[in-house]
Amino acid sequence: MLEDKLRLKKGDYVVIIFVVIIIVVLLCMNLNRKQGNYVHITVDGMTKTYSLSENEVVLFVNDKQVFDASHTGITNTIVIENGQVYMKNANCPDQVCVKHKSISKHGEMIICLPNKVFVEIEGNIANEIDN
Amino acid sequence: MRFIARHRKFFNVTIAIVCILLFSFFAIRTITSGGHEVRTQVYTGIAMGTAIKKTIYAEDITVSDRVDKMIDETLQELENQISVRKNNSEISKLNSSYVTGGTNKLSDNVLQCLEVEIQVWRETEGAFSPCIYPITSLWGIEEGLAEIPDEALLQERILSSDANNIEVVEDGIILNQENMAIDLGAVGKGLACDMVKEQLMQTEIRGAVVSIGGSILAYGDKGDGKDWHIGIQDPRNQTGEVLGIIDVDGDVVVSTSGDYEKYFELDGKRYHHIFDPITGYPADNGLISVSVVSDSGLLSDALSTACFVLGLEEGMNYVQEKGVEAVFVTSDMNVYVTKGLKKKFRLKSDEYTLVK
Repeated sequence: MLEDKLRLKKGDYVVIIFVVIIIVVLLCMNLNRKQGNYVHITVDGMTKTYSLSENEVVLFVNDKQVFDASHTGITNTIVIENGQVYMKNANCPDQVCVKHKSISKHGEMIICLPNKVFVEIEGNIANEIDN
Repeated sequence: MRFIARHRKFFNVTIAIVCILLFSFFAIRTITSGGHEVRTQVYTGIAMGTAIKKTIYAEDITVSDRVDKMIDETLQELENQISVRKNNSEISKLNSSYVTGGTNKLSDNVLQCLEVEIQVWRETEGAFSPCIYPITSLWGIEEGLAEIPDEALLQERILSSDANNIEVVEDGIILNQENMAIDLGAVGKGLACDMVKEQLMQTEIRGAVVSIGGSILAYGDKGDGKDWHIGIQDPRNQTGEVLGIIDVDGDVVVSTSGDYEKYFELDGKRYHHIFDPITGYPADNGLISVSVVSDSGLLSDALSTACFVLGLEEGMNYVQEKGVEAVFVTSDMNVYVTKGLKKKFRLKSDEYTLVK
């Protein structure tokens, strides 16, 4: 009698499975979010996206294989390294982009105003700053 | 299974608690976001000769996209109207063909801008001028020139930069001197922030942060009712390094003027782009950066420039008189904030000292 009362019933299993599924789904959603660290690079109105986890990627903006912007005469070298992105060099007059610190947090960006090159982070490392 | 069976009551209670927690988590999230989730969209671009960054918080991305385009159009229109680099702009036309002593008609927003600028000029006894373009164009720092201009020529330009020669009349201005040139550059980005704010108020977005060069508009909220965190550029470090953070609630503009944006160095001295209209030289009053927080972008932009020229003591008195908040950074790496910001400013760089 007592054993019978203690035995799990069909409904109990349904509830347990249901809860386990919810937990797994939530975990997956969180894990997915953690993997999304990207850098968007826009040149001449064209955007390309790279993963921040790729190491030591050097992008030459004047390289036809990367961005077909050779007709604009601009030269920018963007480096992705250890989850950080920086502008290694540029043929712009003010060099503001080269003097910019490395970026890694969500929403951070480097802009080369004269060459119209935008480098933007979209990722999970929260940025304390809103602007 | 026997284990679970034996503790069935315990398990049932646990499962019930987990379900309740999960439910309340989603319920609270839904309620706090007003029934819908607020999404963030970031847009970047170039307008008014500077970088533009818009972060828009709205429930619907199509709304954000529409607002982004709307802002772009406004900025483009304003640039076409006030830019000194566009030959066809209202300001360029005024500068190249005004009649000395006669009325020159101007649009309402330009006139409103000039009125505020002239008021600041008067209140600061000439530390700020709406017609400083003869001086800035002679130095040409923004165009890449890196030398000290001829003294005689500079003296002539100082005379043409005296706002005493501007008279505002009902529908325009009278310029009483030859070779004058109006430049709204010191307030243009602040004015742009004001115009963007007006527009945003007509939309259903929750909030936005719009950076137009050195002026940052914080509007509404992120959907959580919390303050915005506005980062101030460290004036002696790499671009993007933060000196400190100002916490502001919605609908204010933070404008910063500093000696680090455009400058050249000669014999160990820095020549930057913010000029003292009286000396004709880059302002040299011990400040390296001034940020002003105000409901009016026009005022915050004008006052950050004016205070940079005034120096710490006079600048501090002036912002208090005007009832706005400010952060001053001196060349000896000290940071001073107005009373209203004491609790709202957080110093982030340890190379500076916050003076209490």
